[in-house]
Amino acid sequence: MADRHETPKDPRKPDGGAAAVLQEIEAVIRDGTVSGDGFHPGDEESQQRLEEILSGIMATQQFALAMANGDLSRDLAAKGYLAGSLKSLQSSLRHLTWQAGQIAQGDFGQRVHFMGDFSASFNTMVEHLARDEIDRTRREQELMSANMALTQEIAEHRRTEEALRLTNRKLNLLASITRHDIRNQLTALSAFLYLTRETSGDPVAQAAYFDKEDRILTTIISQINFTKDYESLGVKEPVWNNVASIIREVTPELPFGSVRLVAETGGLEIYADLLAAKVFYNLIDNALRYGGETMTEIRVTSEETPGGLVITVQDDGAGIAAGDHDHLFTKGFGKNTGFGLHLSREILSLTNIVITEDSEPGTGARFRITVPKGAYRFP
Amino acid sequence: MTGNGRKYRFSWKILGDVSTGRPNLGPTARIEVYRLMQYTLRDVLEQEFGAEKTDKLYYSAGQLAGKEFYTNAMGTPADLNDFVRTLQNLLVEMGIGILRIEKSDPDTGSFVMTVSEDLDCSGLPETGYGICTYDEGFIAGLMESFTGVPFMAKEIDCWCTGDRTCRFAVNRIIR
Repeated sequence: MADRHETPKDPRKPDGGAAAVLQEIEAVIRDGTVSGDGFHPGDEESQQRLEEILSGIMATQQFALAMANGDLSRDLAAKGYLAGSLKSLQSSLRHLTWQAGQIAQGDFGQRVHFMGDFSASFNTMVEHLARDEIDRTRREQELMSANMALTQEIAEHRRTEEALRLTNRKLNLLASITRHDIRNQLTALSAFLYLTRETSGDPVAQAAYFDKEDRILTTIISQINFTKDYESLGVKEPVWNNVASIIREVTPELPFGSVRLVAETGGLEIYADLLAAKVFYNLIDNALRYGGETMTEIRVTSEETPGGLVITVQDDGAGIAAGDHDHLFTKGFGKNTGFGLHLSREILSLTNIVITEDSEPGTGARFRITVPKGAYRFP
Repeated sequence: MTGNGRKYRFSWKILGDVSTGRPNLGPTARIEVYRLMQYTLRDVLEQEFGAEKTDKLYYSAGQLAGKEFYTNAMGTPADLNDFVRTLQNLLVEMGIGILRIEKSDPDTGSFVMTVSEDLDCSGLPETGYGICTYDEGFIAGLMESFTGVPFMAKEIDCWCTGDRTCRFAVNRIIR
């Protein structure tokens, strides 16, 4: 190849001109630049054509270089076989880029065709990805199912634990109440036995005491039987308790004397443990025990309030001593056995029912039982 | 006459039952025959109506073909990828061309796609101008049928302008 500076520049020498043109083209192809040494291949038209050719070659080179560097955004104005082939390559690369994007978004149906060995490799890769995705999805579903089963098992376990805890609490309550009730009855029985012995010469009086002792024994048997019923029924679920009915059921054994019992609860039912009957028994029993001789009435009423339904058990007896208000529901507090009100609160709390005392001085004792919405009804 | 002074209205049925009609020669013919009809028809139309009008006629015919092709051959693609995949397979299966998507933006309705080994133009002499107006209409008709909104396709590279693949810019028409 002749040195550029030695190339003849006389346009009238065709051989020298052709060699120079070839040299110029070779320089552009090799270096990617025009020599710019003022070379003129001949007339103006030839000069212009040469410049267009050189410019096209350089544009094509730059287009190819950009593509080699990963830039597929370039446009190429040049035409012809070389430029067309490069643009065809660019089209394939753009399409592959688009396909890769689709695959990244989860479309594993993408396939490459008519790109030789690359097609087979690419398609195999996508098939593997698709299988992996299916496996991954299956494993995820298995994990989700296992997780769901485990969650249900844990929830079931918790429910069982809670049921056991509640059952245990109820049985403890039942044992306490029964012990409390029987002890009360035994105390009374003991007293009547003493009186029976003291009235050995008075058959009429003795017969009356025997009747009382029989009733006490019946009550004790009834209380023991209740524990059996409760084990089979009450320990499981709360029930709808008709307040008027349970008051009627528990009061016959109580010594009302001249005291009047007024129950104005209509058809009210409360959703509570079966032991709720014991609560009303206890409240009325307490009133009778501590109301004093001036007491004439025990009244049970109900009223709906924004916070739920309030059942009031009120008497017009001696009332509660000022110093006792704060300790009424404390375990062990009381003039009798100390179990009654504490156990009443415990029984009611099983179904979120709250019992409070808000007596006013000189107006007897007053207890309020607040039943939450949904836990009472008037069928 | 089929009404409104028309003698003929296209329907897919008019393509006929090839298996019955050509039991020996089958469903294929040489490309030259297709191009012979395509370019003689273009020649006559150009003589009659001029190049610009002929391009419009070819675009409209392609558009009708695209809609009919979508309705009768493509089923109901679930999404864009399914549409592209189905179209790619059919175009290859029928020897129409190799479709590739370079860019797609469904939100703006802007696409760039190429067709290599195109039935209409691949291998034609370089003329310096794009020849695939029928393809333009065909692609526009397909896109309109798939999306339910009108599209316009414009060929930006063609074998006849010295390229090795035909490239189309396809855009949703905003009324």
